[in-house]
Amino acid sequence: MSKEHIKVLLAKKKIDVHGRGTKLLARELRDAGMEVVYFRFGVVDEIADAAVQEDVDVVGVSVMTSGQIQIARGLIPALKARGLDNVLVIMGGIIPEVDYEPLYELGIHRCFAPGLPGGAVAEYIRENVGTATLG
Amino acid sequence: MVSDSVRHAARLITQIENGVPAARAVLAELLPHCGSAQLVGITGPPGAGKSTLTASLIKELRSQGRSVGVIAVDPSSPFSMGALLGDRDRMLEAASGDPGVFIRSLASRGVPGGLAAAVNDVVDVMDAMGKDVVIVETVGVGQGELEIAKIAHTVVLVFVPGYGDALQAMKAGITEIADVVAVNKGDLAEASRAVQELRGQDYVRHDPTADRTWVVPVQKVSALRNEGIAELVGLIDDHYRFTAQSAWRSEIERNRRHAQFMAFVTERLRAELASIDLDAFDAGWLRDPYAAAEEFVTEIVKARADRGAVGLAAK
Amino acid sequence: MSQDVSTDSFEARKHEWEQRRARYADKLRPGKTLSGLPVKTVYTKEDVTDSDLDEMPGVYPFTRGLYPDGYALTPWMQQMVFGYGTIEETRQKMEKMVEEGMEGYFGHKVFNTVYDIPCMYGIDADDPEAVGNLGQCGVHMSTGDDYDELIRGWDLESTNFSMITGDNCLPALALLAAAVERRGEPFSKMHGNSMNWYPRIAVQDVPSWEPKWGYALIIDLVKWAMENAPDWNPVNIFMYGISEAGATPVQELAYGLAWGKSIIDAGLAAGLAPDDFIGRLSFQIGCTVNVFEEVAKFRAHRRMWAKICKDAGATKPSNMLARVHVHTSGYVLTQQQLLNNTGRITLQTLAAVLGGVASIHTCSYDEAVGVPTEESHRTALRTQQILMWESGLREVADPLGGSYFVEQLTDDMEAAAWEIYDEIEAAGGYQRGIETGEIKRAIDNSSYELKKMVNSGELPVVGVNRYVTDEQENYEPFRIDESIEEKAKARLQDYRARRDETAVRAALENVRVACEALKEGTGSLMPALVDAARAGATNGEMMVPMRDAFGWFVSE
Repeated sequence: MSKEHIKVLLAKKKIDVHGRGTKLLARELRDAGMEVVYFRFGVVDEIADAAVQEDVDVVGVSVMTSGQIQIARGLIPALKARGLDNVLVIMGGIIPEVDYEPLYELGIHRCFAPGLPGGAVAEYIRENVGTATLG
Repeated sequence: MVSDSVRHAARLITQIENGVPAARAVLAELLPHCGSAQLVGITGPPGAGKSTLTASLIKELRSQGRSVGVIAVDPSSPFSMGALLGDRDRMLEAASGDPGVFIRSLASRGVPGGLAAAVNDVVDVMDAMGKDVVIVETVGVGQGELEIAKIAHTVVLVFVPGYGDALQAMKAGITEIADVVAVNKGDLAEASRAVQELRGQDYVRHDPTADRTWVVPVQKVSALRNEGIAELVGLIDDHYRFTAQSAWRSEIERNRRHAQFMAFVTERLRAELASIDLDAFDAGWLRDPYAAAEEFVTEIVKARADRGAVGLAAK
Repeated sequence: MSQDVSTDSFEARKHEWEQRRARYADKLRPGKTLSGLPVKTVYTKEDVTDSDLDEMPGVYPFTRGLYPDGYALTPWMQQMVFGYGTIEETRQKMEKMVEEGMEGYFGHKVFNTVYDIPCMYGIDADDPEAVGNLGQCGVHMSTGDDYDELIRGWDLESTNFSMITGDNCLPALALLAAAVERRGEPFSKMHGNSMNWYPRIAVQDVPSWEPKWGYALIIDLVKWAMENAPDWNPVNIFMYGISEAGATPVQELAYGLAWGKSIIDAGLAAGLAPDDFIGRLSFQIGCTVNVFEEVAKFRAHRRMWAKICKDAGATKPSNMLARVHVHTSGYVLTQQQLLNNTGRITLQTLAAVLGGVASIHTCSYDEAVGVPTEESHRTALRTQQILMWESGLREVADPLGGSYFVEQLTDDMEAAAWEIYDEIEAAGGYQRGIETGEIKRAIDNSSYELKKMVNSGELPVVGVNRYVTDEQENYEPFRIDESIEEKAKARLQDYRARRDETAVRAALENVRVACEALKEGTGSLMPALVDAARAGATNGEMMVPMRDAFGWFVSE
């Protein structure tokens, strides 16, 4: 599915100092024509509040200092509680591949390895935006 | 349910941004609930610290028990049409978990006139949500920003001293749109000098409805340190009250509704005309598109005036 | 084979060289370094006519190294970063690392301990925001008990504690000092390093104090150390943070040195004498896999810093030494084909050693996936030890000194870095760069340029844009048990139950007063923090009045 204006919220965990990957992705998505709300520090409720007020199509969370499972456990219900049941939720950063399946079971739609050549994330978003559900 | 209404409002704003016709019907329903919000425009050059200042204003207004809506506009990339909307990030601390604050980031999408129309409508949404103050934050001093500035009851022009000829560049902006000037990063030595110099200029705005003037106040603030913020809010409120002492405020509001009217009519006419099949037009008539268009529009406007329709006086 | 050489002269050989390459020379793509400096295919003595080839190691300006015989007298310090869970887990790790042969100069013990994010940010284990972060990417040390355990049994004179703190830099040192005192030893025996990295907010998205107060706190710690613990290194300049944020090696040099200069300026403005504190400043620098560029960077760095110190009024040569700890770049490691990283780490370490640095942390190959396992952490240490003992690299000081290429590249990098450095200084210095966000914008831009080069394939990264496979990496990284959270909370509760609450409240009130005094310029903060630590205040509790006093700031 394609959409003319895709709006993405990119956030990273509160007080995580690693911001390079998120910033790069924000720029890549902008250059792929998306509108990116960039958000440097967020606890789960702040991310969900921003997602609902901004009415985004995609929520992306960057994880560099672990805690991906806890975030997913909190974030998906927080989004659903706010009525965002068809937002696409992706994660990226330092996440071991063995965690991908457990994260998908928690409701994350897709995880991305760090440093991927540009376009991979944008392409995934373009293909999947609007079709996702938070079960 | 509060979160429900937030969700609805947020979705409606998306429809407004996308020019979805159905949004207009909802806006019409909201109109009776509008009119109580105080509209504040924040503008200034990039790097002036507008978002940080907005964050400070949010904190101050919340401490006074006033609810706040924020519309933060960032430019779209002219190449990709994508945008980085980074303002919200700097308001996080001020707004975290507070249901009395609603922040929405908008990309300019490259159509200044269209943007101003959309912002106008988004203001109505936040007004109808019951926000006591709606802040519209825009970058720069371009034509689009001027349009947006006209939406506000009070326009605050923010700038940081000490960057080359920032002060000189600002003076034109002050003359044109500012009701209140905020010199940000007041901890810098240059700030005091700039405040002195600007105060010495005695900028005024003329009340278009009465023979009186508003002296544009210059306030030194430090958004970072939360200094001068309460004073700034005081000045914004002073100006708001000042405009109510004559017909000035109704004039501002009339302008805003006129802009909305223009935007709607333009868009509706365009849609209406586009839906007419080409074959429905007389080929001979279209051969002179200038005359045809002139005749077409005059007909519509004149017919309305001639029949003494409400809202548009006959010439 | 026939020899056409008619003469042995350089000109004649150069002429022949030109003839031999004439057919294809214009087809060669001109090379460049990561920083964008041009690189030729061949360097000759003509390239170094302007270079100073008369330098000696251990002699100003120290381009060739800090010490006259390089690593021959004592090798570099192996300073592996570690820290996870509570102090109990980290303590076990400390002992393990000593067992594995990790040591500093002359066999000293060196513990480069990283705190977890809640500690760095300044919240205790029972704060709701700490959930999911406790002991995860660093050790959670917050109470007097934790610090007693940290130093238990270690000889203070021969043990170095480097503390990778965040905003809690001062409280952490106060807690350490109080623990030393409880053991009945004087502060003067303390050896180690406060990272004191406040200025990193110019490049990293980390909220911290307002710039003015950030610098005031740096200097407050410096003064306390000068008076109480003269062997303590009170400031580290975190160039690693600059390069990991996306700076090129030249930008890393320029911004890092400007950062250092901003500390010197702040110290001088506070009335300190140059020779009393400049010599105590040290650096942590990144290192990519671009071997020669990195070697040139370390050489240029020593030379430039020596000049800056001298210009600032330092007179003793020992106060002009750029003491450098290298942290091999984590950004260059890839999650794809994980084991490839061992090759990268070896190259990075090689560059650091050829560059003559004083101390090295080697990343583990699995850091692209998570926290290293015991085995990968040991292998990283062993990589250093192989270079140290098997490679012969240690025998000769500055082995690349005199290389036409490396000398020229050193000069080029120095010139390019001075250009940026001078611009920053002219615009008001590094602190102003924090306030305006200019440094961050410049680095973000080059980070994006580099990424676009990776995207286009112009900058090859094996496994990412070359030799890509789609096999799964089912690597199981080290996991920190979530039960650590309960354990940390229990330790905190237990500690609080045993202290005199009234004394703690009073001491924290004094901290609040001292914060104001520091802002007014009428007093210092460190003594009040040490008092609070003595009374039993925790890391998180000391941070409350500090946050109230010194604000919240993010460089835009």
